[in-house]
Amino acid sequence: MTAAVKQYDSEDPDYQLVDKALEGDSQAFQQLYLAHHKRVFALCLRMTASIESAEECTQEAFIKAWRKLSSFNKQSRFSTWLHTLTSRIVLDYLRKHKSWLKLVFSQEETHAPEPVDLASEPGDFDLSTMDSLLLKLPERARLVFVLHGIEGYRHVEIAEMLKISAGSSRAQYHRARNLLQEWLDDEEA
Amino acid sequence: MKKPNSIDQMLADERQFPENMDPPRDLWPGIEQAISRHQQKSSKGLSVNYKIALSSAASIFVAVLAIQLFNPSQSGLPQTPSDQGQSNSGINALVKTFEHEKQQMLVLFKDQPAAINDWQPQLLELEAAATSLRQALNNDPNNAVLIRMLGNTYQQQLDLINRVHAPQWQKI
Repeated sequence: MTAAVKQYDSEDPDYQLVDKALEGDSQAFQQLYLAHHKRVFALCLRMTASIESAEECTQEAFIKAWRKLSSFNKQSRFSTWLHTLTSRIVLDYLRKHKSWLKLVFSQEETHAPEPVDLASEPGDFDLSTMDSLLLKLPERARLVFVLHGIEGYRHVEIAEMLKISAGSSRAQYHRARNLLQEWLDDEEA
Repeated sequence: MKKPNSIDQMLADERQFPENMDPPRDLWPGIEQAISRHQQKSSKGLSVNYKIALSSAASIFVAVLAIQLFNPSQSGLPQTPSDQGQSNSGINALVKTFEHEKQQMLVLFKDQPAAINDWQPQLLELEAAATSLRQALNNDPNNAVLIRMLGNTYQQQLDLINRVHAPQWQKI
């Protein structure tokens, strides 16, 4: 192990748990789950705009994290690795979901079902004003806004993830910002 | 006059975009189940039955492909009533093969707990989609797009049953 990694090792409290989980200790992995699942769920919810999908993606993210743990090389924090993994899982989930809808109903994106109204879902999920507005954004604009504005990905990274150009990612981000600002102004008027 | 909030202000406000959100239900049991099954599988490898199930699923795609290859509408030849009859029997064979595979898989996984709770409604949705497509194919038995969609809908049913009982999570 290099000195640089050793130094990182001492900075990230998750590394010890990761090592135990790598040895098959599922309780250590549960500790990692407890430490990170709320943030993973928040990311999934903002990206999918559906509680049910967010729950499914959160579970899939941790199951895949368990399977892929040996590929985590400790060059970053565990949380960073987990979040990158989660973003990709959600995008994959949305792609599959949409391709099925298109396949069966032969409809374009604009005719795909609207995101579930969270207020009507069981448990009356509590969302901030901005999160409520965010979930109303069109899917692509929402994804770009979440990944760039909230998660801090660069447009070139988002372009690669969403298979669009970096310019298109910037345009979607501005579209999202403008819509959110407009809706926010309406709320405050 | 109160200055309207800007998006940048909101982005910096932890209350507006909280880093953490509590899922409404406990997601750990499903994860624990899946990872313990993965551990068991890593030590034993895939069971023979499971391998058969996967290869059978692939055979359905071959069946769809065969129907399409021998479909006269694809080759530009004129359609006759006997062509239509052949298409119908091809589709019926596909449906029969699929239903057989599905029943085998459901029996195979009968005693295994599912990784998620709501897989059966999802399966019902896919079954309903397949029924609609079959009805559409009754009126237009040579429609290659409908046949392909039907094959895909069946494949998704098998994938769903497999996935919830023996998750094979994709590579990143």
